[in-house]
This record gives sequence, structure tokens and C-alpha cells, in this order.
Amino acid sequence: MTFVRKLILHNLRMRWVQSTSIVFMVLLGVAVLFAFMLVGRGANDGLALSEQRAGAQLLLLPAKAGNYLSDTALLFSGAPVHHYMSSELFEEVRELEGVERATFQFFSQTLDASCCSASGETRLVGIDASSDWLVAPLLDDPAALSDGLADGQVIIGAAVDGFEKGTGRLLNNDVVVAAVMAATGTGLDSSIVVSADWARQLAAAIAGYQPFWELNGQPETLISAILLDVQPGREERLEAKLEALGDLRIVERSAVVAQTQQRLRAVFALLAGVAAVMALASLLQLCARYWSLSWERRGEFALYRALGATRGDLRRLICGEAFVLTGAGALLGLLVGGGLFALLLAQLSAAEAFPFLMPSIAVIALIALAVVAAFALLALLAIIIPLQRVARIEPALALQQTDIG
Amino acid sequence: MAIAFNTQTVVSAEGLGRSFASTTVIADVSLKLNRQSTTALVGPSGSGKSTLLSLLGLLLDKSAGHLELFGSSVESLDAGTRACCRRLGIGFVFQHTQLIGALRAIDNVLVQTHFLHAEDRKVLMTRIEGGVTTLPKRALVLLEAFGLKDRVHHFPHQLSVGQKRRVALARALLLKPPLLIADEPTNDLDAISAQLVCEALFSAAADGHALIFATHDNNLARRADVTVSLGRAI
Ligand SMILES: Nc1ncnc2c1ncn2[C@@H]1O[C@H](COP(=O)(O)OP(=O)(O)OP(=O)(O)O)[C@@H](O)[C@H]1O
Ligand SMILES: [Mg+2]
Repeated sequence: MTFVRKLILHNLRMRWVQSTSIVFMVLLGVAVLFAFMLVGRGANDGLALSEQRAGAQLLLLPAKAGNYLSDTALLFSGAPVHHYMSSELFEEVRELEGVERATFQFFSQTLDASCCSASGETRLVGIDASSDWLVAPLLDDPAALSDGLADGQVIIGAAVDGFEKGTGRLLNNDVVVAAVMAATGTGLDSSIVVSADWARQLAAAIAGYQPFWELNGQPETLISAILLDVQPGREERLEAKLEALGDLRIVERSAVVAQTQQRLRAVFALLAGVAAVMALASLLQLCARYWSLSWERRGEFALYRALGATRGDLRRLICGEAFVLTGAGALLGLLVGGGLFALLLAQLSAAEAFPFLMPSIAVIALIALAVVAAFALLALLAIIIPLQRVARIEPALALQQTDIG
Repeated sequence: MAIAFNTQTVVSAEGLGRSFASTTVIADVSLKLNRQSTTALVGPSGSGKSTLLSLLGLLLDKSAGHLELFGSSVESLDAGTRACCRRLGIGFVFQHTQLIGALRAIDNVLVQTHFLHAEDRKVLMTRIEGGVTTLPKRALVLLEAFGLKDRVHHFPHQLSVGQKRRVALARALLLKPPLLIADEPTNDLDAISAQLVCEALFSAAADGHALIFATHDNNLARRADVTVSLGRAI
């Protein structure tokens, strides 16, 4: 192997443009494929999960709240809504014919490390434990909600960190973690859930929120969202009644999920197309490179034959070189791909909210392996013909050359 | 098929011929090379000296006659055995040195060791004291013996023609092959360098190699035990 390494180093030096172009081509292909597959996988899992979990059929918000936020943002990314409506509205909606069940939530400020244990940006959500049916199924300990949440008790989302010891700080209060929610692929993953009453008390104490209370009334009388399930067959009539209540924005979950799926599918088809073109370009580039290499270096290969190398030895040499170049490209590609993945995810979620579930380490490793294997196969395809050409080189060719390479 | 490299007669050729398309380059050459014998190949340019040496070195296939290497007819050897003969049986000093520009002098001498097969190591164990593990040291010893002590880590482009020829000679001698073939080894060399190379070749023959070399130098040819003359200048 030392020998092969030496030749490769020489190759990189003497033909560095071509050699780096191989590494770069593989790198680019691997990076793009890896990043795209991670995003695709995460979004796919997120969508599947959000279909299963954490869903009320309808989400009702103050009409003015939604103006600057899309339905998908409201549903999936848990974008903060600092608009409030009267809690009386909840009682009205709950009584409507066709409502199967209903609950409400109270959103408070977005939290960060300056005020609480959580390190990332975290949403504070107050729930009504007595009517809630959305949070309990997500809990590792479903009984945790049965008696409601006391002040100072929190339920944390799957992606919330900083509460590893089961306790933490929240807006100048010591809190105890009552339960942890399973991942949902939505904004709930980075939310801290408290009782609605306590959320209101906390919100009332936030100085910057006074204008909201002046506008809408005291926080004890306010809610942010109503979530409800509809009795089968009553959808249209109920919707008409809800619209008649006025001033409500109605987000229909199934429609939004379907719409998002459709949009994501289009985006991912595009990404898959780009990835396929990249892979094809890699293959062509590799083919061309190895083809010309087998010609440029035929004198060297003939000399090895003259010195007693078998055809098999030459094949091993070429495969070894291809292996090192492809391996280097793949390794760098995975690193770059990881960065590209983060970038892509940030860009995509900035443009369009969608549920995302970070793939597990095992899945990431599997995807990395699959991508590398795919490129190993491409490299193998690219060297098949050059291998045959080199194997056909006669040792007598060495006589016609002077010094080699 | 295992080759016994320790035969006394290394090469035996009978009516050897080679044509390229319709041109016959050599015809009806018969010769016998024994260990410790030296044979000079003379003839005008284009008379087929290099071609004949290539036939003997298994670089080229003959088109007529009979050729035996180490007691085996070359027709009976499969590709793997022929490669094995080239590795362990034959040391070839090319007319144009054919060093690998990517490798330093010492690595050029050692280049063959990267192609050694498992069974080669056993053969070399009996041939070279200490076996393959001592080869890097042996390469150094050879280079030093050829006056290249301070050129060991030079690349071919940093060496003169005579120095390159000596590196090539060290490469050919590294595995102590029974058959040593040198194509115009003193070509382009000044008297002193030529002398160095000649002494190395003849002392190798004295050590038990069978030596055949092509040359235009009549003085050198006269030193050989046997002279084979190829006619028909082209
Ligand atoms: N591959 C080939 N195809 C066709 N003709 C060839 C080939 N190799 C050699 N020849 C011809 O064979 C003849 C002998 O060539 P060779 O190289 O053996 O001569 P030589 O005696 O070594 O000459 P020199 O002293 O110049 O080295 C030449 O006429 C050459 O053109
Ligand atoms: Mg010649």
C-alpha cells in the first residue's frame, strides 16, 4: 500500500487538476446526495408522525393572528402568536353542535437561555389539562397529566434540553419536569408546556406584554388558540357556525398536511433530480478521468508488467488508486454533506414550515453508508473499461518508453 | 506451475525468429546461456538486438523456433508463470533506463518488491540471505556499490544518464535473478561511468548470473565469453 500511496501522491502532484477534480466530483456528489437524503428522510418521518400525532382536526386562532403567518407555520413550526381572544369564545365553541371535543391553549413568550434552562429557542405553551387530549398521548408517563399540572410543573418537548436533571429554571421560577413528550416533528418538540393558569400568571408578569393586555383584557380572561375535533359528518355545518362566530381564523389540519405533503413532494422531486444529475456527472467525470489515466500511464503499467507484475497486480493497483481517491472524496463529501444538510434545512424551513424529525444516528449512518456504497459502485463502473485496457498492455511496450511518468 | 530457477542452463534457444507483420526482424537465432557465462550481442542499429533480448526476457512472443527458460519451454508456461519468471528469473536493464519519475532512486530499485507474491518470498528466502526483509538494505548496498551513496533519495530527473543507468542496474540485480539482460548498458556513458557499469555486470556474472548484453562497443564485446552477431543492417 505504501507504494500505491506514493503513486497517488505523485499523481496528485503531477496531475493535480485531474486528481482533485475526481475527489471534488465525488465530494460534491456525496455531499449533495447525503444532505438531500437526510432532509428527505427527516421531512418524510416528520410528516408521517404529524399525521399520527399531536393533531386536533381544527385549529382556531384570532383572525388577526394569522395575517402574517401561513397555516403551515401555525400548525408545524409553532410560530409564536401574540394575539389573544376571550376565553368566553372557548365556552361558546365547546357548546356548538358537531364539536366532538375541544380544548384551548395559551401561548406566552418565546423563551431563550437568558430566562430559562433551555438552551435553544423554546415556546411556552399553557394547556387546559382538564380538556386536553393532545399532550397526554405523547407523554412517557401518561398519568402525569391526570391531576393536571401544578404551578411550577412543566412538560418538556423532545428537543428541549437543559432539564436533564428533572429540574430547571423558567422565568425566575424553579420548575420540576413532570413528563417529557415524544417527538412530533412539529413546534411542540421545542415547547415547554405548563398549565394555562400558570402560563397566564407568568405572562402577566412580563413587562413587554402590557400592550397585549391593554388591548385584549387581563391574561386570566384570554386564550390563544382553540383546538377541536369534529363529529364525523358534521364538518361543513360546524364550519359555517364557526365562521358565523366571526373574527376567527380556522386552520384545517388535514388540508394543511395534504398541501404540505404535495409541496414537499415537489421540492424533493426537484432535489432528487439534482442529485441524480450530480451522480451522473460524477460517473461521466470518473469514466473520462480513468479512461485518460489508463492511456497516459500505459508506459508505467507496461514497465510493471515487464518487471513481473501480473494483470491482477495492475488491477489491484488501479483499484487501490480509485479506492483512495473515491474514499477521500466520499469522506470529505460526508463532512461537507453534513454542513449542507444544516444549511438546506435552515433554508427550507425559513421558506416553508414543515414537520421535521431529525433522523437518528443509526439512520444517518445507514444513509451515509448507502451514499458511499453508491459512489463506490460508480467508481467501480468507471474503472471497469480502463481496467480491461490496462490488463491488455503488453510488457514489450515498456521498451518504447524512456523514463516513465 | 513452479519453476526451478537453479538450473545450470538458463536459456536455450533454437532457430528463434520474430517478425512484425511481414517484416522478419530476427530469424534462426540459436544460443545457450549458462550461469556465470557472458554473451555479447552485436550488430548494426536495427538488426534486432533489442528484439532478441525482449524475446529472452519474455517481454515479446517469438514467432518461430524453440525457446527454453530454466529448462521449461516457454509455450508451456501460463501467463502467471511467465510473470513469475520475469519477477524472479530475469533482471532487465532497458536501453532507455525506464525509471519511474514519481519514485526516488531507492524506491525505483525496490519497485519490484511491491509485486512479490507469497510463494516468491520462499524462493527469495533461499536466494538472498535473510529473505525479503533485507531487501531495502540490499538496495542501499547496491546503490552504494555503484557510487550512488549520496543519490539514494534523488528523483530520476535529478540524475545524470550514467547515474540512472546504474540505478536501473541495481533494480535488475536486486532479487539476484539467474538471467541478467542488459540492452546497450554503456550507451551514452563516458569512459569512467561505462567502466563502472561494466564491472558491475561482469562481477554479477562471476557471482553466478547468466549475462547477455547488446552493445555497439567492440572492446566490451570482446570481454564476453561468447559473441552473437546479428547481421543485415537496416
Ligand atoms: N513493435 C514493432 N513493430 C514493428 N517493427 C518493429 C517493432 N519493434 C521493432 N521493430 C523493428 O525491428 C527492427 C529491429 O529493432 P531493434 O530495436 O531490435 O533494433 P536494435 O538492433 O536494438 O537497434 P539499436 O541498435 O538501434 O537499438 C527495427 O527495424 C524496428 O523497426
Ligand atoms: Mg536496441
